[in-house]
Amino acid sequence: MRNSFLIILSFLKFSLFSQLTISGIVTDQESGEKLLFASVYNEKSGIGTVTNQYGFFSLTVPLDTAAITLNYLGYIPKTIIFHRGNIADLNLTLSKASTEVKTVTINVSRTPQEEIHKSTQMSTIKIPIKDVKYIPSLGGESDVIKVIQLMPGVQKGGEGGTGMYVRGGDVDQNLVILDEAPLYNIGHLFGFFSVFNQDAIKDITLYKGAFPSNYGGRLSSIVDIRMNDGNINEFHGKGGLGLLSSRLMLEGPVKKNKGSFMIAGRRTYIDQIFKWIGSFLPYYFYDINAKLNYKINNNNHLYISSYIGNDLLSFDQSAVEENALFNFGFTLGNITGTVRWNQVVNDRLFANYSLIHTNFDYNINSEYDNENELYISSAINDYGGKADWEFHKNQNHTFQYGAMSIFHQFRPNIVNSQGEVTEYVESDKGETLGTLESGVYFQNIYRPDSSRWELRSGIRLSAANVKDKNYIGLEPRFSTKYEINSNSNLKSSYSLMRQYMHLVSSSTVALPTDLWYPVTNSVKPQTSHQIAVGYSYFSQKIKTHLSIESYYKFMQNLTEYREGANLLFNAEFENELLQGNGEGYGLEFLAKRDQGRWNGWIGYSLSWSQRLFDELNDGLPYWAKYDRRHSFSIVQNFKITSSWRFGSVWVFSNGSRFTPQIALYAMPSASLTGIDWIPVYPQRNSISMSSSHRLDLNFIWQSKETNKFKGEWHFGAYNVYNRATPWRIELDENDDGGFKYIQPGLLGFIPSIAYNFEF
Amino acid sequence: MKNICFIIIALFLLLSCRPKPLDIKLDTYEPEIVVASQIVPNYLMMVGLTRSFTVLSNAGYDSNGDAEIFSNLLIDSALVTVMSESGIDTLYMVSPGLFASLNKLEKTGGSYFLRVVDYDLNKVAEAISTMKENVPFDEVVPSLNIEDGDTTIDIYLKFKDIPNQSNFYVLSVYSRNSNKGGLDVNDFFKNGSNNIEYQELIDDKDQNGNMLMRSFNLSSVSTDDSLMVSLSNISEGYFRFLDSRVRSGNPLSDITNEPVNYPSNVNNGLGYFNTHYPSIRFFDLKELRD
Repeated sequence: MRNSFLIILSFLKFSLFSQLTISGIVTDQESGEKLLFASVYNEKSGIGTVTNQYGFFSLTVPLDTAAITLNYLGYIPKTIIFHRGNIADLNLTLSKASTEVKTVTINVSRTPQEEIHKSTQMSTIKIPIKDVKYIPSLGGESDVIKVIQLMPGVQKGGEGGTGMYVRGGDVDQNLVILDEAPLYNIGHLFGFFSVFNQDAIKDITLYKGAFPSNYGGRLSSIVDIRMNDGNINEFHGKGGLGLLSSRLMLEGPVKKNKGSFMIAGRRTYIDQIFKWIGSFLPYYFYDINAKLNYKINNNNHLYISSYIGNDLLSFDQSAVEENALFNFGFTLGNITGTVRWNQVVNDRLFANYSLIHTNFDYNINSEYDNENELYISSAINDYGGKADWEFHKNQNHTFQYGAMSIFHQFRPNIVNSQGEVTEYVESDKGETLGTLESGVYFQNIYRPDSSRWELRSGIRLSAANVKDKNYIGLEPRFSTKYEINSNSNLKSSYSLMRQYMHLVSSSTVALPTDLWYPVTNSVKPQTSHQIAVGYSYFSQKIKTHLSIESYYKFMQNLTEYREGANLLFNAEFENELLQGNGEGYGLEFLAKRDQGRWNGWIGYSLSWSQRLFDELNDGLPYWAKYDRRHSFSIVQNFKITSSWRFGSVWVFSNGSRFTPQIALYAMPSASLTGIDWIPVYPQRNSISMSSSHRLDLNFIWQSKETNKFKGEWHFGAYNVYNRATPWRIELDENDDGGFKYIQPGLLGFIPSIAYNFEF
Repeated sequence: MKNICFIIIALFLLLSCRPKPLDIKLDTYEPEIVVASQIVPNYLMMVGLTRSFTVLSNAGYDSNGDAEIFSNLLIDSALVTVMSESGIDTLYMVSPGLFASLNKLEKTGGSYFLRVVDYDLNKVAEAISTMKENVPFDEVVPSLNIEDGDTTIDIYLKFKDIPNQSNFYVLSVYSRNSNKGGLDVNDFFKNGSNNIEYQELIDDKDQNGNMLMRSFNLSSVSTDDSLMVSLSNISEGYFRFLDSRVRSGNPLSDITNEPVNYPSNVNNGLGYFNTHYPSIRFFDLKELRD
């Protein structure tokens, strides 16, 4: 199969200062797909840049420059030689090597990690989609979020879940955006599977700190995920059959070289299989990703993308028991829509304009005895717009600036009850809350001539308008790089982040009853200050990036709940919220190799995370629930032969924390006759669950590749040596008639088989 | 084909084994002295003393009401003293776990210092409590409410908040199934004939010096019963203690997974030593009916 680059050099001109500015959009020649964060550089002068998140670059080089090199992981680097003044508006096609040549040429490919190493950006991890594809996974379902959880600085929540706790933060402090639209629910099946279909995604970037100024709205991380644009030249497809779900992605030109479509769908069919064999499992989930893109001309491009996903449970007792009168069900899902217009304004200025809509809602309904009905729902609707500009003034300065505004409409806790159940749960229309969240930002990347320093400085002004209250704040961001030598850099950064909404969760697992709630008059925005310093080393010889980072994060106005808080069906739950402070600090190590026959990474985190609330734990500091001191992961993918691959994951982490009941005592009851038993607890989260470790394996057999079809069998196993990863504690009886606490694991050894194909 | 599919699924389910749970070892729990107290107006101060016990013991985690287990928790070998302006009172043991003063300890504004030496545990627990100013009822009016043939009791009451200070009140209504006039406080720990019909914790925030009124209905009281309406001005700490009891009594709160920690003013112990002095009104509902 031949692959190649297509570079569109849309502008090439001589500047007044004897410099040459080359700009354009780097794309894959075969599919027309934009290549994000590809490197573009002049080998002679060493001057270079990377394409932005929309595939655009602008490079200003000395006038005598006669060549530029394009480089991107998985593609053959290509040097384009040109004659000054004679190559304006050129489309350059670059061929990719055949499989035999790939092994030789791949060693000179630049990887996304190498680009991060070379830039001021730190605390950032690019995750190639192929990593997601070959890494062993639960039930054979490749999962973007599970891969992110293997990175240093990211702690998982409960076993198998998609909860992320980044650098001592909370689960609601992560902004996950899919084609610029925020997603409020990133898990299917109570969080065991993420909502992202690997075949529909082309790029994943995780920011844990050193946040660029164009991002805001959450304290702890940004996960920026981009969908495939769709093949602009040929019709192709991808898919997979797994034990739990199957998926199919189709892409092709709407009009050759002008526009394309991509549509991808996934559904669990285990309910259908159970039905087929005469059993009953009334649950399934599905998701659909769709995208259209149309090239208006060389300088203007329009994209329309959408995601629709839902979890559905519909239990009708009469299906399993005659004359039964109980029904229960829920739906839970996101819908997003993005309309994006990319404009190359001139050879130095690039613009992106986006209109964004997100809907997240859940609906729970139950009916008993044809008389008692209970319906609960909650929804968020976001309507927003943003504009971003990137101006490459010269080789020393790149300015990025823009503005965004998003209206959040919250409708939490709508309850409709009928029958006797009204005695316990009253109907409530729920209050509709509106919040207008806005931000403007400016950022400058400064690269002094002949200096080892590089500085990125930015400022973001964010604001939220809620009922009778305006919150506004500045968010300065800085990051620097000092080049020790060609392989080594020292980096540092500072970020201030503000967050204007929070998650009100009634449990530690993702339930449909979890609510997102805006800041109000009494619940203030959360803020964080994070500083980080790091050392970055990139070995050209073995193409491996090594980074060591240390960070300190101080968080204010975090939310917790009063002890014994009742959050279910409680319209006044704001009264149950407490605000306090927190801090996270630690050290992270990552050695990552993205290419070659053997690739993977080793990650290690040493971290602390504490909370301080006046009304909890007697006002004393306490450890956060997911304060895990040590976390370690080894992930590798090895190409054994042309047909066989082998992937493995080994993870170790200290246990999460909990507060066990340790004793009881008796107090006179309220009637002053008889007693109440009062539980005794130690300090909040003072006990750690046991450490856990787990090995997952995956063998992949690739059938002989033809021009038209490629197939892969995945034979995997989760938790190979069947060790429990504690996820809760239970009381269990001892041999002597007493009791002991035990820590059951949720998931044991689970084999899997899956078949993936491309055509 | 169905069978093949079923076999494949069954095979994977069989192979998917649940891992053996891991044990977790907690530090050995040392029992502590537990204090409870009640002033009986114009009579005496009663102090209940028990010991806490580990939930992991074979004493029985859910043996609520088990007299034998509970009797092992009662402190019956202790020196219990209350020091106040009037001197040191050594409390005498009424029954295991229940100690009473010989003197009335009822001076408003007075501080009471409790000291318990448990000879069996070889531990000493101490607590201090200030008797808050008594707040009298301005009015308490019970009335019969007959609706659809059912008779219930309406209570209307009012009292004046003490101005210029933060106050916390507990308003309680007790019933006794027989018309015995008083409240059964002979033993905190045995099931007696009192029933709690209504209890409200009142924080006087934004109510500085106002007349506070309450009106509520008691649906489970019979006209054969007697009622005792009690109002106490309590400390903020004891208010928090009682509030914890209310919050932990909500069955939905278990789902939050966050425990309710009861505050205590006992050094080296648990429970709460309080010296609130209640205002009390008795009502014989039979008289109301007749």
